Amino acid sequence: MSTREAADRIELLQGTLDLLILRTLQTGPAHGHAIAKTIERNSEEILQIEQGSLYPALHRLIKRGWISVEEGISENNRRAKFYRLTPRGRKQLLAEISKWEKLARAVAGILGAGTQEAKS
Amino acid sequence: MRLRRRMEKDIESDIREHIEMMTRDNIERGMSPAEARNAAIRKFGSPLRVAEETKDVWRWIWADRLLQDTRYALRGLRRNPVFASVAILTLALGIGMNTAVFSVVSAVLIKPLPYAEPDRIVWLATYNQRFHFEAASAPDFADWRDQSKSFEEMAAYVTVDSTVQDGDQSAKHSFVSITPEFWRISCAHAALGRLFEANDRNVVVLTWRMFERRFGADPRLLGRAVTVDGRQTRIIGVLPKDFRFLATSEIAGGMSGEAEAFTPFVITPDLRDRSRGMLVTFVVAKLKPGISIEHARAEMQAIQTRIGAQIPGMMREFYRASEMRVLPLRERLVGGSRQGLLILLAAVVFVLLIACANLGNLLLARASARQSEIAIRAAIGAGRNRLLRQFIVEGLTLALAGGALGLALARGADALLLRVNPSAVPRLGEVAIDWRVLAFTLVVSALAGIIFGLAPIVSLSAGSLYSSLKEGGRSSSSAPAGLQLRSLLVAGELALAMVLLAGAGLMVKSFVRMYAHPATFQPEKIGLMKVFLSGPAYRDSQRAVAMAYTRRLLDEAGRVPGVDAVALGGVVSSGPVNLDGPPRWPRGQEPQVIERVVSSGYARVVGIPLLRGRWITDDEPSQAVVVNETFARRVFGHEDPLGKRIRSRDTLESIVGVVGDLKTSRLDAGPDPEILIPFQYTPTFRRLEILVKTPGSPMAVIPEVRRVVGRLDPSQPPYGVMTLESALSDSIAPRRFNLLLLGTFAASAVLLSLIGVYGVMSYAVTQRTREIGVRMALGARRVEVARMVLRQGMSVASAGIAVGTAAALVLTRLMASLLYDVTPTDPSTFAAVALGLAITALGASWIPALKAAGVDPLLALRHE
Repeated sequence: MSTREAADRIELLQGTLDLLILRTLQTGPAHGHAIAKTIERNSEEILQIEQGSLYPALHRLIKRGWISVEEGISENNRRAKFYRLTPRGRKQLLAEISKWEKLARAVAGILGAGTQEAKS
Repeated sequence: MRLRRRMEKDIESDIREHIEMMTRDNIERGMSPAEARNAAIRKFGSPLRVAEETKDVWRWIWADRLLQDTRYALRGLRRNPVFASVAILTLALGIGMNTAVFSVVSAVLIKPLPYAEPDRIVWLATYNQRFHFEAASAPDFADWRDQSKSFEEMAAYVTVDSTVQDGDQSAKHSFVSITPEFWRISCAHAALGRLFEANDRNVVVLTWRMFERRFGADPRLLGRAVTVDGRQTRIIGVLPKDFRFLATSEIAGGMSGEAEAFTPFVITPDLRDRSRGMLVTFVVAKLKPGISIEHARAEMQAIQTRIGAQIPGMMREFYRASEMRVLPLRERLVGGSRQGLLILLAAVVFVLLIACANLGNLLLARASARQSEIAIRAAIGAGRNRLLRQFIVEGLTLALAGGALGLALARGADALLLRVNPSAVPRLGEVAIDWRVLAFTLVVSALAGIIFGLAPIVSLSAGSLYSSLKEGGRSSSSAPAGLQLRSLLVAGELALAMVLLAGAGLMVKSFVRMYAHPATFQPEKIGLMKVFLSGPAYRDSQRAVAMAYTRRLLDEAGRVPGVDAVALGGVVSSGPVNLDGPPRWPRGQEPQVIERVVSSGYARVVGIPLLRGRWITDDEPSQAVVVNETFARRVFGHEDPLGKRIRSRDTLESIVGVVGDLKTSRLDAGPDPEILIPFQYTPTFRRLEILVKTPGSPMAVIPEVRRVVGRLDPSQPPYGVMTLESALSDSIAPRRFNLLLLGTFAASAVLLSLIGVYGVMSYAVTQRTREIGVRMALGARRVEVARMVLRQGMSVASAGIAVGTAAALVLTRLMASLLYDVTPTDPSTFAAVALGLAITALGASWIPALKAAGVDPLLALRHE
């Protein structure tokens, strides 16, 4: 990986991946590879996830009962596991989103204030 | 469970499938198959590791997180070495002291006695209400043993300092004469040779200690004969190293040290006839399995009543004034130490609480510095529980580190206690860091960690998290809540410190009272030495021989260069006073008086002031005695004691003088009514206590005196050599032990609360820098600013001290028995202690106050 790429890409904050997975599954069930692709595409390739890290996260979410798993056939006619948001997961997603927005606002506020202070 | 198994089983194939999909995508983008696969794996990460991590999700999540939290906590501590070391040291101090005290409590009060089935071993004695003495007589023991059915075994013993002569070497040793049943009660076995049995006579069994010290641990010793108090005695066995005899100083009877050798105690028919009412024997017994101590007590009381009823004449009175006592042996041995130890344990818990409050304060300060970090963690999904756990794990990490260090400190402290004061508490020699102590330390550390770990949480409610984010980590406006909590903690610390200080202060005052004596009494210049005339040459009938020996001793020892004066001065007995004429008191209510046998030099040696009449001379025309002030007051009230006559044993003695009170044997008892009898008039007199007055330290002259005395009769070696000063100080060994510990705790408490006050005031000043700047800009003078800070500090301090004083007034009542001649609420002690603590707190606020006064208003305002 070149330095330029590395500088542009952002490592995920701890706990954020869960939020992203839940959000991706909001539009409907998907298998692991599809989830990873969706996250990357929707973040305009800025968020690079090590796709393997998806699996511990998926299993964690299953364990908490926020997503469920079912067998299905992938677009290439192969057997694959499809993950689906549960009603509890849907509620969790809403909570996480609102928390995230608060954080984002707050961090932006700090950064804004910081730039002002730096200027003054 | 089923879900878990399925998910775990399928994970490898899921991963394979995923990578294959990625590879296909890459091929579609135009890569070669090999390249595509490599790129996919690179992007996916190690399949093995992913599979492992995924499986971990289903495994020990809590253990995993604990590890993570611990790592995080350790990282945090490494980043803050000053914080970490202050915290760990504070804790180590608190936990170390607690562990040390608990190890003593455990060894003395909790650990079973070092015998088989210790719970069944009991102590049997009669307590005489007239003599205030508890023991048994040999004939009673024989009756108990013959008549009782509650006991498996019953053993009696007497103790005595005996002379052991081996070749031309003779020395005194502490001997226990005991019936062989004791070996079955204690389940003791010989390490070498054998123990004595019922028909053994003139044999001795040594403790390992004596075997080593006196005989160089030479195993060929077995079977050898030595002379014990003039009698040929064969050494037949040695007890194992870990054998401990049960006698404590209180029930040691006639021996002056730890038991060193055992001889068979034989209750002859003659002894059974002769010694009714002679309370010199001690009895232990082992209950039969299933027999309760209450049952045994009832049986023994019935037996004792029956014995009393069959006794004729005068002796019946004696039995009527006695009550039967049956106690668990452990209770008898350590019961007297319980209260003191429990008070110490409570005191040391106070120290730990203060340490925890300080740590809570430290963590609070740290939490407010970390508020934005915590807020971000909370916002990106760390649940409140997770945060809580993080704090607790941080607290526990600190606490366990502190606990480990504390354990090391405790070991050192235990060793120190044993060195400084081995005889202060019975069973102190058994102190060890065992599993009980380890468990205690672990629990205490964990509790401490959780308690102070949670302190920051209180200040971090959900609302404050959000506001601290908004302020971008400058926690100025959330300060009041935090400061309030911190002030509360510090006030609490001071309150606890006040209680400890009050306790220690009262004990110090007790010591001052104990050591109060007239300037003429100089115990540091008086040497002590004992001679116990034993062997056939000095039997009771040979009074003239003992007298001649004593006269020669006084004469020759007095001529040793460097000796000012020599005298006899030992207490021989105590009991109800017996005046000539009609009885003045109902039976059983006579004042208890002690009889001291003296030679004419006694007054000069101890510097006792003569108040009235005259002192006794060496050649009295009739039987003349002197009494002390307390005796005169308690026995005669306002009457003139001079010329009054007292019955002692069978002779009448008239009082020729009154001397001042002097505490020459025990410091922690009020002066006893004392009657001083010239040694020439005592019918049986074999135990000589010799006092030697010297101009300087007696220890320089004593060896020569000892040689001179030893030469008088080589079979009667002098022993028990020490200064009167150290004898007096030994008489209060348990009190010194308590004072030493309580004093240490109080000092630590003051030190810790000093740090606490300093910390919270520094914090307050930092928080208020801007406000102080504004005040100064508006014209406040530096003195006023400093005064403001001091006032704030003192308001916290005085609240703490006030609460502490109130609590101490209640709590010190519990320690009344540890005090001497001081009431538990002694106003002057309380005032002095409170004032001292207030001054300390003022001192601790001083530096922050100076810092506040030194604030530069320009800088302070620009800072914002």
